Amino acid sequence: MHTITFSNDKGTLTIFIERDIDHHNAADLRLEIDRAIELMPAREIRLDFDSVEFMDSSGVGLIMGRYKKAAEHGAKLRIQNLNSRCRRLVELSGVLEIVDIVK
Amino acid sequence: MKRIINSFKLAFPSRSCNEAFARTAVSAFVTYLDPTLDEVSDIKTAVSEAVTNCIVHGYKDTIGTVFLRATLLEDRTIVIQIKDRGCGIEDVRRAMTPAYTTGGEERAGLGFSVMEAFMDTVRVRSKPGKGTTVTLSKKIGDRREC
Ligand SMILES: Nc1ncnc2c1ncn2[C@@H]1O[C@H](COP(=O)(O)OP(=O)(O)O)[C@@H](O)[C@H]1O
Ligand SMILES: [Mg+2]
Repeated sequence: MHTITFSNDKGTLTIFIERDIDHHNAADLRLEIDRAIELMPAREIRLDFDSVEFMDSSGVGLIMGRYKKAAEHGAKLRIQNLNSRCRRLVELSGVLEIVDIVK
Repeated sequence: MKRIINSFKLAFPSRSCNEAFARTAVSAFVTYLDPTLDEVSDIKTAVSEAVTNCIVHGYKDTIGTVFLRATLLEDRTIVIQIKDRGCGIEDVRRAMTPAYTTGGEERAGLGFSVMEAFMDTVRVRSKPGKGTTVTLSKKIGDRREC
């Protein structure tokens, strides 16, 4: 079962997260996202949450970790398409001080 | 004492695949009160945090049993107790501080903050070497029009 898909367009790598994010899933997601970041140089990396129905604070840890990973590769991280519940969690977490929501 | 209208208990090994099982079981159980999507999501998130903590911290290098008990009270409150017999917490107040974490591996240190934001009450009892019990409660709104 795949955990992410991606598209790479004019320097923007969009990574679509295809499953719920909890501690159990976060380890695989981290590996796969980091591999994509390493293989596909980009100026901007967008994490897309359209298929994420549920996330807990493990998702916040995942975002913070990918922010650092992206920065190591000279890229900026943004997040998009969060449902209202994921968005509330992300707002509460303070992670929006370092990562923008684009849509 | 408020009358108990329903309850269930679970005991499962501290394997991470059971995180989804535990929160899904509680969300199915609370359906009886006809909660909103947001209320269900709040409860699922809080349960996920507490169960993950038993697995990641309480039973850090071992597999132990996680105990979960959920109760519905007649005033439409759900009370959920999540317990481990793991390592316990030395200083509960510090553990509950936002962004405090002892776990590497990309923990955000926000589990207790999330439980507090999404539930009405969060109580933590812990003894080093004995284990930790987290009790969460939330009153479900009554949306029947009068
Ligand atoms: N069940 C538990 N057993 C032992 N320690 C715990 C337990 N739950 C929480 N803790 C401690 O409290 C800290 C904060 O927990 P939390 O807010 O959920 O953040 P995180 O899980 O990201 O570390 C943990 O890092 C751990 O030290
Ligand atoms: Mg936690």
